[in-house]
Amino acid sequence: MQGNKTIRPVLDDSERFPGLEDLRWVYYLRQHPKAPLYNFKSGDRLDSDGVERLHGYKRTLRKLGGTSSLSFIRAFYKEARSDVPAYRNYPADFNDAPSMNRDDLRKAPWDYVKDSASLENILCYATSGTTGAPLEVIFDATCASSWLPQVELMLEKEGLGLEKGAGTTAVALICYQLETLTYASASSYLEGSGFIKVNLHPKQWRAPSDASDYLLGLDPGLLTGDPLAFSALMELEIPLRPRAMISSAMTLSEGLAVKLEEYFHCPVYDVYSMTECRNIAFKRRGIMEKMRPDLYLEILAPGEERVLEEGAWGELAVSGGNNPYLPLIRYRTGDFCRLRNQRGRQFLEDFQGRLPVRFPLPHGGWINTIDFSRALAPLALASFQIAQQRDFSLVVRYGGRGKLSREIGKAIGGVLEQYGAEDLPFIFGEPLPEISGKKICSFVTEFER
Amino acid sequence: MRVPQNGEQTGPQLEDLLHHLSECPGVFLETPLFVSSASEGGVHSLALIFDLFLLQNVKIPIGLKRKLETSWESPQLSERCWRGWQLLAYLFSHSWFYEKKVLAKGFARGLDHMHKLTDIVEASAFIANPARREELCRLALFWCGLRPQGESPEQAEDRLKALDTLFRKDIEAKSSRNRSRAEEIRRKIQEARAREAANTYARE
Repeated sequence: MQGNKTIRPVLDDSERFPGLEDLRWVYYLRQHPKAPLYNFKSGDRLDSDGVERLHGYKRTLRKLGGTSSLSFIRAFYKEARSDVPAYRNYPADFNDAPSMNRDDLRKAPWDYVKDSASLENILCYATSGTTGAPLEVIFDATCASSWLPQVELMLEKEGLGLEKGAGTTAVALICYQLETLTYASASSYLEGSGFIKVNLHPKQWRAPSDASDYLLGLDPGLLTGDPLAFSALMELEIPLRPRAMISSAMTLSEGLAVKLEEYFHCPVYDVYSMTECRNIAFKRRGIMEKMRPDLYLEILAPGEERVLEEGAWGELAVSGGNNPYLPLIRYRTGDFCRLRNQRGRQFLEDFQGRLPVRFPLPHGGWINTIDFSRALAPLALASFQIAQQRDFSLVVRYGGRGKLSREIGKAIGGVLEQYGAEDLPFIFGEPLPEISGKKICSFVTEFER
Repeated sequence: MRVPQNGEQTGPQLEDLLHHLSECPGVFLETPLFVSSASEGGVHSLALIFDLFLLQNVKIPIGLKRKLETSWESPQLSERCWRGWQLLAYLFSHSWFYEKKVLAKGFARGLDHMHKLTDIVEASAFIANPARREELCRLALFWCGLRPQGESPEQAEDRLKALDTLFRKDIEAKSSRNRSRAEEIRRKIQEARAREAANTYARE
């Protein structure tokens, strides 16, 4: 443990897993001779009440699935107006409600917390800032795990499910980057089934074959990760046989989705999610569909307070969700698409999301741009952009107050050095405009993606 | 905020009522008899109110009569409150309310409102202070389901909202509650951040 005067005592395992009595499976995952050099410990923090709330949430999702989305949003809106300070003065009719964006959340996140929400044991998550200025989102243990029932319902459509019980590994979150927190954990909701987060980067393992041996031995039922990590998993030729794969954080190209399905012999879902409300939609075989009935989607005219008709292309706005610390009303996602309704289901078409960006290096290899996000995160920049030119050099731009060029330069230099690319030139470009509420692509490259 | 009632009717000219209130004789603000000794004099509040109904030729509902009598015997109500009720008796003695049945309803609603309002505002201020005077006249009409002559329901509601002391107090209390809740959330976020930071450093 590093010395730090502000440090507070960390949780122990009984606090990490209040809903699990027997933690032997977690210890096994951590202490396995082929396990990676785990650098963190994490638990779901769910007690038995929290587990029950998640089951209740799953029942609610099922129930809502059979009702009209309009009646859902009207009830949701009515409650939000009476329970959320930010919405208290909103007009009585949802149709007249104004839109909101990430700047609103950044300015006063406390205004979006329900009055009825308990403030005990809240958790805070800051976005990486890959697609705009970092944002802090408040939630609790139940919300943090609510993606599990959402995913279960998605998988159910193809007769699939999540593993349950100690001795199984329900989820392996795969990363491939220089540095990230890695841990072995378990889910009380899944009756003690394992959840591991591993980094495939060779530096994180004791021996080159360990990653393959460890993962094959655990046989995780669901692989989650971003397209770059899944590409790396394929390149490492680890012949896993998961029941399903979920790609998120960046758009998965259809070509790569097909390759992954062929290689891993399982359905691959490209999940569109945001920290602000987690899962929104999933893409399967080229068709993108709304994932949860507790979200209400609309298309808004860019820069205008106007809801567009079905089929029109515009900015996706999300209302609803299950986070009592952030109920959303017409939240502008910064992503664009069309919506089509068909037999009670909602489909997203021509979706323009975030494409994965990696910066190729002159002598081969590439930089995972998330390492820049991670290195720049402590500087809390309002916005930044790193653009790679055709000559491999980088142009760095940032917004917000203060002269941070030196610190930014140091952070970027540090990442380049770790990739053995310290000679790669980078210069500072024009400052980015003041916060506009729109996402700015943090990473762009002139090379093909 | 209260929504204007359907079927709300037009009452007297507001100016008439304001003028009437400004000419309130001092006797209506005298100390209620029940708190003063006989030698000091004072006014029998209950008699004053019953006289109003007689004067306006409106039958006082039994429930209202009982409520007033019980209140008179109860030591719970303050002198300030009774002064406010005495003032109501004067305000509703305006000739417009003669034989108007809405008087009983308006007076009954006014008792509850004045009970709370006189905790904040002295009865005398409703005569001396023009804004408070207008507030009481508008409230009296509102309690009766009326609005001032020549005003639309929206205008009447807006103007009353702007003057309504209890409404303003309520908003202030709410916003103060919101502020302290926001402070608490801010503090909890900082704690959560510190916890996360601690976790981050504690790489085991």
